[in-house]
Amino acid sequence: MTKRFLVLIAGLGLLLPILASTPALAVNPDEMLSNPVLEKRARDISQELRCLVCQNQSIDDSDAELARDLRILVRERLIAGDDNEEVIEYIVARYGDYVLLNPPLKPETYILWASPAVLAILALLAVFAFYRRKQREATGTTASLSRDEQERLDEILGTPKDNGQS
Amino acid sequence: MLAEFGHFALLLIVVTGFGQAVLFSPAWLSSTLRASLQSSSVSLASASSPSGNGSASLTPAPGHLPAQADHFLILPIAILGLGLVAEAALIHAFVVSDFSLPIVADVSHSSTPILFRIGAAFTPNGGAMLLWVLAASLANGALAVQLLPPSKERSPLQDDPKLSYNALSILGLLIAVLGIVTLIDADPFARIPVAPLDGRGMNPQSQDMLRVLREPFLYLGLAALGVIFTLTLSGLIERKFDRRTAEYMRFWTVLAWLSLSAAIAINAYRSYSQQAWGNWWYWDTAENSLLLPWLITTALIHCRAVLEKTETLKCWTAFLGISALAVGWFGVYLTRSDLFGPLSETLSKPSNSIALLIGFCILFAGAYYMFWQRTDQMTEPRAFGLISRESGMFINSVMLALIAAVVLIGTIYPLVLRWLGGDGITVGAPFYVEVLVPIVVPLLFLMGFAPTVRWRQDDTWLIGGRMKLAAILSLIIVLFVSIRFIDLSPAPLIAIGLAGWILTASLSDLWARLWRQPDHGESKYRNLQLLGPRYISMTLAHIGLAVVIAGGAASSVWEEQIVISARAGQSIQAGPYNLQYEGVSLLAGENYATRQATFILYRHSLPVTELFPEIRYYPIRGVETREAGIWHGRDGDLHVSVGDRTDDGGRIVSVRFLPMMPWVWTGMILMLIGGSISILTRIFLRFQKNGVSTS
Amino acid sequence: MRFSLAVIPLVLFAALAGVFLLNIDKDSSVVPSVLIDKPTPEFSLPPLPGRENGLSRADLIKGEVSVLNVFASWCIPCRAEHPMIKRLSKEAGVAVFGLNYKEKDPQDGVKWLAELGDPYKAVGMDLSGRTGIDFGVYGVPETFIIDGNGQIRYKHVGPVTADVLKTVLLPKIAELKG
Repeated sequence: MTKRFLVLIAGLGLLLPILASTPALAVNPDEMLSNPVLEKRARDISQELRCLVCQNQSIDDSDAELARDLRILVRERLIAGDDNEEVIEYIVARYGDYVLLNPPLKPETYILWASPAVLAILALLAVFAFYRRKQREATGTTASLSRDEQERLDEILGTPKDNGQS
Repeated sequence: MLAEFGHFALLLIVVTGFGQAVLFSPAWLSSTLRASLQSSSVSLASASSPSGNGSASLTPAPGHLPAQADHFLILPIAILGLGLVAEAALIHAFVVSDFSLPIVADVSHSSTPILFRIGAAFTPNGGAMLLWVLAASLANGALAVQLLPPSKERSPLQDDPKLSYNALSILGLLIAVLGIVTLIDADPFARIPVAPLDGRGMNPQSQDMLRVLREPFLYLGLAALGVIFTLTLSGLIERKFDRRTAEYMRFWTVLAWLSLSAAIAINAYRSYSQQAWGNWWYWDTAENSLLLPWLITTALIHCRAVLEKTETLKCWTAFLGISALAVGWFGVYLTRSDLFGPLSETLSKPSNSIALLIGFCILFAGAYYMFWQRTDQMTEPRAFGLISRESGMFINSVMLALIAAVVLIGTIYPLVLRWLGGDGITVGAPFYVEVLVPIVVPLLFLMGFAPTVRWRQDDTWLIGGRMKLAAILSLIIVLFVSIRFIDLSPAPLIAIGLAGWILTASLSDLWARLWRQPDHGESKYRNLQLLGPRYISMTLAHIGLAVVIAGGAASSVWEEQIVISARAGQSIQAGPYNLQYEGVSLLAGENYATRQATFILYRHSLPVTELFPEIRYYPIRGVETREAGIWHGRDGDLHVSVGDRTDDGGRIVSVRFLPMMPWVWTGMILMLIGGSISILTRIFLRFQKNGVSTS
Repeated sequence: MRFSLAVIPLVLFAALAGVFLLNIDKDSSVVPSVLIDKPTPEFSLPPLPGRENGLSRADLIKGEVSVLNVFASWCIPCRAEHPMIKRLSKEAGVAVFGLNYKEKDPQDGVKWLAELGDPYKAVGMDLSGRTGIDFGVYGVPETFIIDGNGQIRYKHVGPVTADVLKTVLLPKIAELKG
């Protein structure tokens, strides 16, 4: 019990000096630009840039000190007249493609960007082949029932419309 | 001393697990089985003889179980007991703060509140693995009860003794492997000769009741996936991967889905409430490794239903049954091996989790090989047309698997690229959104048809007729939203439209079923009963997802955000709400100090509630955390958090109004309720049946 | 189809496991620097309070191999690595410069060096952290090895341990000098 008390006293003691020096809240009012158009652009850019010391958070989301510095830098570049791409290039020149939450298209990422489409096509082909085979296996049985046949089948099987269990 | 006891229990789990694997294995049992199957009348006689201690749970059921094998049933019970002992020993070490265990010293401290000391036991690698072992032994015990029922009732599986024994054999092996991996990678009971005076404290990010619950849910989900894996494999081995196997798998698929969903929901809500900006999904490694098994399990739920109903899609269901555990296991490896650097869950020394990886390779190489060997002779007697319920479920599961594949590639690509000598890249939210939207949109569209399409073969025109109402209603929603919010970009509009489509389709189908003319003069109440728990849980889960999507889209588009430097007494307007900032007070929590701000929340100038966002400081780790103040209102969430003092004497306050954000949480809860209904009716029915048969 | 369903995950997971096993010792949390083999950025930093010499790019392009160590008084690993930096400046025979990164109070760096000893030939004070960003610094401490032409040739992220000093930094410096 005394230990816990000591910990708390220590905590409170340590807290007092850091009152003024805590990690800043993401996007402080003093960072924000008065020009709403520029500020909007700054927010958009910030959401594309990764906070380097976090996992997949953007600098816009992050409370980390470095993220804050980068946010201020983004705004400074915007005021200096850079367009959005120039700002991003400025940061990438220092930290590399690693800061881009959206990986750029380059030889190293071809596989990454192509994979969804390739996988989707493969899946489509596989599904297509599956149905072809199904049809071949089932020719002459129930491959295609007319509406009436289906209704009769339902009657016989005792599976009325309510049998929609999943 | 208790820790050594736990250590020994863990060791015994490995031994007993292997024992179960060997004793239940077909090779061992085949002779006894053959004998008993040939002379079922003889074993019927033996069934009446009392077995051992006379416990009912060990009484063999008549007809099919070889009497000798019944004694082995003690093994699953022993494993469960040992698992409980080991976990209890570890928790005890945390509760009494036994710092001679490095695992305790790493993530606990004498000042950590007692509940969180228990919670801290789940967070480090060794503790998490032990939790997995415990969850797996729990599942093992339950599977033993399911397959070899305690009462004399005839369980369906008793017709399949070989399948049951195979499943228990493989599950025993799985538990043994998990136990070995735990002992090698991150032995939770290792001791150091000189204990530090105190621990390094729990990770403050984890010190939250909800967050603590995430691990048990995750590992319960993985344990259920383990049972699915064993049932699938034994079905393949016995060449009996059919309707009945699917039936046994049902409880476990729903359990896995429910647990993983709960873990995801907890994760999302904690991200949201712990950060100033409160995003609820970042696509980071930990989140993706929860999402991967969830996606495959969701696909499996649908295919399994098709398999049970029509005995088709055997091969694909088997594939998903194996792959669900594979991606789950791989996800654990990704998060536990500290591969992804900076922000890891624990400060304990990075573990390369090599045994976890090797165990994974051996187990799944075998499983996929077995899959390849045994699926070629599978026959599927029945067929289904392109326009049918089977078809819808099949295509939907393919799409879910596709999404999982993309997420998996996105998660590991940066890592592999770096190791192959490439640049560092990041795969973040923009990538996933761009790439997954084209897959998710048709998937959601397909979901709308789920309740109405018939089995085997349906007719496009008939479906059109049934979907007419939903189509019109969802178009009206889209029209209304696009007129009301004229400059809305197409993406959120599509999301809202699809959510409306699923919602109206589900509801109109429900309506049609409820108000259909009852047959044979029964009352309309009968219609409600006819729906059945499966239909209700499916509808709830689908509606829940639609509600999550609508809420997520709306809140991200219409979010209002104000960041100002506020002084005490100042009021801040956000949406229909008005927040009055009362000031900050310095308070002491149990093991932290906190600056707690007070806000009074008004809605249209009527007081609603008080909110207390905090900045906590945990002296043990010297870490600050933030807790937002959140109000879930009718029309949206109000999310307020505080930051530093500013130079002009105020304090940074971030206020956000997120319209329809409560829909996200409500939707998640609806999905969880849907899953729970399915599970609970299953358990209830089982006990009811037992009760009837024993009385 | 069945074959590919079985083989694709098998090959995929096997390949991944292979990559993971081969690289199990590598620290993947280190973000590779894009500035390797690029000239040091242009900068000019003021000296610590009470000192005369600041630090600028001119100090790094004098034709000799040099080391730039980024440190801060609030950074605990910096304290841990400081003896190694001292050893480095004694044993390597190169100029070691210090970049005092983002102090809350300009005096903090002075006090820190007074307490722990000052191995640096010159120290620049980067209160805003801007020069740090130009160097791609994302977590102190970081240590750069810069060749005679002012090109960044190596970057170490995190505290320099005795092991890192012996097996990485000193050989690298020797190689660049020789």
